[in-house]
Amino acid sequence: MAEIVSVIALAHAPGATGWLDKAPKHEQDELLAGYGRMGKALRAAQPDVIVGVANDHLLNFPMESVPDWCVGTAARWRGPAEWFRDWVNVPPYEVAGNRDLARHIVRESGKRGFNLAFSDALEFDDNWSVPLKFLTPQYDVALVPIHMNCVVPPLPAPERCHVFGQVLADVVRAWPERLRVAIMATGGLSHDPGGDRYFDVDEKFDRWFLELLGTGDAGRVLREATIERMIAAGDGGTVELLAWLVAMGAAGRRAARTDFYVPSVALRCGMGGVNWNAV
Amino acid sequence: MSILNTDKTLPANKLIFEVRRDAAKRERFRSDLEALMREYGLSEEEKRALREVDIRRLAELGMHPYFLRR
Repeated sequence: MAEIVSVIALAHAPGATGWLDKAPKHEQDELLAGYGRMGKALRAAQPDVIVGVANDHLLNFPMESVPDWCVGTAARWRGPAEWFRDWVNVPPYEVAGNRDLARHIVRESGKRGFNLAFSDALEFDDNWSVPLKFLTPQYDVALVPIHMNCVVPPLPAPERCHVFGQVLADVVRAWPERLRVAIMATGGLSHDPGGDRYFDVDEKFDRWFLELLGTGDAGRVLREATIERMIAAGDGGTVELLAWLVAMGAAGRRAARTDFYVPSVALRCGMGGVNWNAV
Repeated sequence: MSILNTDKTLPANKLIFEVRRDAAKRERFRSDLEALMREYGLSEEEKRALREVDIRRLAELGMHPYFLRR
């Protein structure tokens, strides 16, 4: 039986690696300390594999065919994508996948009402390149990436995301071998890439959302953290928090604790991270 | 400009999606835009807006906000 040893969610905005030097010193320090703490805690949990859930930034799926979720089934991954390399400023890296676990997730989720797409050929941008750079800089923990649709309507509703997280946790635990698994959502918090609020961070929304997750009341989160509210706090970026709702589902009835929050206009994103690891 | 206005059937969305992924198409986007737009079946209005980098109009037509930056 596999064991879920950690459930976390964190921002992945490319400024964190791409132009961190443009942010005020105190923001840089808080961000690096926050990611550092999360990385240390994650490595201390000794996961064999990270199952990640993050927005696909219109990089992998043509609009004819955008899946709600697509599980990466390759045995090995490379990043960052050529298109994104200069912007995200992360040197080329390789990380192992876990093909058998990924196929198991696709098969078993299918029996639970989730028709997941799967692919051996996902390209990575900031969605994995930024968090891995900070959390597992040696690239020594395998990754099963699950790319999700947070930006091409119709989007999976918050309730659907939450149920998917519950199913994901169940099917991971049903994996017959001993395996330590971390669930990691990436994306958010408030940002509006290329949109009207590009140079703005909605700190009020972000702090409200973090506090809401901290209540541990999933029903209330799903009622209040609507797609409309996310979009109002930054179109096209804040909706990546749908991935966090998947992690919330995977975490079960626990409340989230905020590891860090840095509203950074320079990085054009509310940067933050949470964990659901408190017993 | 909102992701909610995206028309995922808009030919210009397919064109930009593929230009982002493919360096050869990126080169053609710079050197041979008219032929590229014809191949993807863009309407005259899409062609005009893309030619003139009319961001507002492209958004109205349903281009995804991610494709309206950079």
